[in-house]
Amino acid sequence: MNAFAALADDTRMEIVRLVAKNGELTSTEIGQNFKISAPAISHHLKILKESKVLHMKKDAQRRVYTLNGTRIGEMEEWLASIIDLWHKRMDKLDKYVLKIKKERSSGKK
Amino acid sequence: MVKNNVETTIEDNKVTYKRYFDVSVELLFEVWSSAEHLAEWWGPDGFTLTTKSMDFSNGGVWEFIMHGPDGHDYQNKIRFTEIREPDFISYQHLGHGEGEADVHFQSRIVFEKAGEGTNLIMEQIFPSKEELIRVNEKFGAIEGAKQHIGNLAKYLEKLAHSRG
Repeated sequence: MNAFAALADDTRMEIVRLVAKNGELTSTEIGQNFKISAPAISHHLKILKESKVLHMKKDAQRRVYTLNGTRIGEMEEWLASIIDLWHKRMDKLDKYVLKIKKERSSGKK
Repeated sequence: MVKNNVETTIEDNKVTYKRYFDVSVELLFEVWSSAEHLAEWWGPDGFTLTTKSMDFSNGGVWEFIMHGPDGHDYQNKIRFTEIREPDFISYQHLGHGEGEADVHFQSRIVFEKAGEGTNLIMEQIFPSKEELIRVNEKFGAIEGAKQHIGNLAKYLEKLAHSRG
């Protein structure tokens, strides 16, 4: 699953928010914020880890989760690149339609 | 009217663009409606565009290749989900690539008469894959896709500040 699809789920988005707010959280601490079962939380965390939205490091018996800033940055860059593409595209569209308008008006006498 | 001015807002999983064009609604619609027109303005600078097939109708597909200045070819596929001449076009971008760059999204474009010219208002909605399957099954607007990219950005900003 890609990072966007991973975050399209409300529970996973909320998990990411909690981790972002706290800097780091264990799986137990994350689970305490939700009414869903531990296996369900584990499943969500697995997806967030596999899509590289969160980092997981094992610390003795604990699993500690932190935000993967690189991946989040990539997502934001990707979004910014789409926006930039459309800004440029609209500039080209503007030039093109003005050119046609001019051609057609000079054609009509 | 100020040129080169696109109002852009990001909210949840939606990016909205608004820009004024000093031409009629009909002309703006027309340049979206044929492969010949699209080839003239769709590609970024330095790119050329080859259309494999183009069917500008409800449910029709536009398949094209963008040839990059570096010699790379980028396959693209767009499905027009709903067209209402001359003021509304909605389409899905169905990438062929892999990984992060292959996010499917829905665009809804409204051409709104504004005095002598036209305001183009475009919404890009970034859905999850599950949503996309649903949309494939049924034409129409997407509801309930929640990626909160904007909120995410706000959180990250807070995070950056809290870390000094």
